[in-house]
Parts: sequence; structure tokens; C-alpha cells
Amino acid sequence: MKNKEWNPYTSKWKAALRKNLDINLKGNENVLYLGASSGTTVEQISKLTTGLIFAVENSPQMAIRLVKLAETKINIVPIFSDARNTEYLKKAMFNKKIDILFQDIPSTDQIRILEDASKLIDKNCKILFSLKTQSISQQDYKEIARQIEKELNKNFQIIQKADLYPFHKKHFFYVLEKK
Amino acid sequence: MENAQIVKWNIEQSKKEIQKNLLKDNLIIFFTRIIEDLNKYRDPNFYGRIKEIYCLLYPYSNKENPKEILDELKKSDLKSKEGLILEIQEKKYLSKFLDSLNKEGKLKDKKNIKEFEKILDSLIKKYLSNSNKNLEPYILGKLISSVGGIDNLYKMPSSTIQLIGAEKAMFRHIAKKRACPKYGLIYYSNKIQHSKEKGKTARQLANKLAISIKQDYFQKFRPMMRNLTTAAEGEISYYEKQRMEPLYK
Repeated sequence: MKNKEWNPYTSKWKAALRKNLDINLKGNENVLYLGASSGTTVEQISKLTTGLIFAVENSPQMAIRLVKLAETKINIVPIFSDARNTEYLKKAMFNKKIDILFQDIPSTDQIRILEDASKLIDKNCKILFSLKTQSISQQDYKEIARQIEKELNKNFQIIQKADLYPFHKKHFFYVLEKK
Repeated sequence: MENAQIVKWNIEQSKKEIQKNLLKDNLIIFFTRIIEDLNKYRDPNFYGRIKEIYCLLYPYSNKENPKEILDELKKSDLKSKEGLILEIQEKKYLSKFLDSLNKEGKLKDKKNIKEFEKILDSLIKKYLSNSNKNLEPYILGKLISSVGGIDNLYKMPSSTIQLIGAEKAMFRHIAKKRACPKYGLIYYSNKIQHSKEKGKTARQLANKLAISIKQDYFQKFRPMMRNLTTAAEGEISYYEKQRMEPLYK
């Protein structure tokens, strides 16, 4: 496969790096990536760590491309399942300790998925959460972000946040920790 | 367990799961798009469509040249180990389409549209027999293809099905408070064309469709759940487990 550039307009992780959030990798983390799609971001992250990347995807058409990608790399683990199905995720991860949880699933119950998935990780794990406000409601996006921060504060502690404006419209990015 | 073993186990497992989730609605989408192309363009080239069907049958192959793919598909017996598994009748339909193409990927006989419409008819009579009583096969296929699969369509409420294809007008209504659209793709069905109160019949038709599509989905596409009531109970218990409540009203 060709070496592609990491484009902030197609990847939210890269866009958050451009916004000066502290999410650089040390080099040996295990990552749980919910909502991997065809694996454009996963391919770039696999170069940065030696640990495993558990990429979860639900739609078959996209998961086929993800499996194709995983066959060429060493440390990508494709998991075809719903991200809500935490029992299967637990079984597929074989008790590996996870250092970073990334969630990028644009749907109405985004927070619920994050809360359920946070049972799989320890307290000192870093959580990256990218929020698409349009999929939750069509109203004023800044107010929706404020409401969601309230919900997040129940279980998580917000360390950093950023608006991904020039790269992604009406998207927010949070760095969280478990309370 | 070592890392390499975990990767290997997961690749094998997800390949199995993917094959289970490749449904026959992909075939319906394929043939409706062919008819759409033939109606839209004068002399269309089918290389893109050939690639689509090849990726369904042999998903993990790395071939990209459409000319080679066409040659290979014409010779092969359309059996697949890892992709979509076709029945005998469906293989005949596909080989009929492949035989009607020349080397450049175009149709030999340009008046072939009626044959493809017959194929689509028989596919929909087999898989969507309940909803075919309400709506014409071509429009049903268009509904499925525009949403992206029957997996998405069966979850939709009737009011959303009524407005599929009228998204632009719908969002204009929400943002700028213009008039609300009454019908989307459904508008071209015979029932609405011949009625005087078009908005009313569109609503009635969408109500019936929402029920019948769910029936078809649980009878034909996911035959594990034969009985509709047990299927509904399973869905409800699944959502109760996940605490699915609307976040904002």
C-alpha cells in the first residue's frame, strides 16, 4: 500500500493534534478504537505505537476494508461487532490492558456508548471523545455541546476540549478521565 | 496469549461474522442501480458496477483492473467462500447480466432494460413479498439503495420513510421554516399518482410500508427470527438492557 499523508480534514485525531491538544503517543500503548470505519486513522496510529490497536466497526462494507488493511500490518486487530456489545469486546480483547480509548461514533446515544465502554478500562486510562452535534440535534450546536458536557461531568472529568472548526464543522473533541 | 495469535483469531472471527451480515439486499440494490443508470445515461459503462459485485463475491482479493475482473467473472462459476453466497437462480440472473456486456463494459443490445426489470421483479417478489403489495419493485429498490441497505430501512418510522429522497426540502423546512414536504421517492408510485389527496395517501402508504418492511426483514433476511412477536420482544429487551432513552426532546 502507498504511504498516505495524515490529513486533518479526514481524521479527527489529526485535527485535534492541530488544535494543540495533549494527545501524543509514547510508543507502546494499547488503543481501543470505537468506530474505525475503513481504517484511515487506524493505519496512521499503527505506525506510532508498537502496542495493539483494537478497531471496532459495525457495517460489513467498511469492515471488509479494515480486515484487508489488518492483513498487511502487524498490530491492527479488526473486530466486527456493535460497539454496544461490550461482552463480545471483552472476549475479543483477551484481557489486554488498554491505555487509550478513542470513540468516534456519530449517533444519538454517543454518551451511552462511551459510558458502557468505560467499564472495560482502568482509572488512569486516557479517553478521547469526538462529538458530532448534528447527529444529536439540529438546534444551536454550542448549546448542545454545553448540555453534553453536563452529562459527561457525571462520570468523567474533562481535562481538555477543543472546537475542530476549520477542519470539521460542528464537531468537538474532548480529553477525559474516569472519576 | 501473544499478540500475533490475538490478531489471527480476530481476523478469522470477523471474516465469519462479516459473511453472515452480507445480505441479499445487496443484489436488489445492484440491479436497481443498473436500471437507474440505463434510464439516466445514453450509453453507460458498467465497469464500476462490475467492481461492486466482484467485491461482494470475493471481498478479500486485490484485483483492481476492471477488464481483468470482467474476464474472470465470465469464466468463473460465481461460487464464493468468504463473500455473498448466491443461489442457483440468482447465479443465472448475474450471468445473464455478464453475458449481455461486450469487452468495453457496455451493453450489446441497448433495449435490454425490460429484462433487468423482470429480474428485479422476481428478486423482490422473493425477498420483499409483503411490501410489494403496496409499492412497485423499482421504487422499493430505490428506497433501499438510497438508505444504504435493508438493515437501515427496517428501523425507520413511517414518517421518515415517507420523506426519503426529500431531505433537502426537509432540512430547509427545519432551518428556514419553509413549507414541509409531503412525500419523497414514494411520490412516483401508482397509488399516489392517481389519487386526488396526495399528501393523505402518501401518509397512509408509508404507514403500511413501515409494517410490511419489518415483516419481510424478520421473515426473509434474518430467518433466525421467524415469528414477528418474538423478534419484537427480543428487540425490546435488547434496548432495555442498553438504557436507550432519547437524550433531548
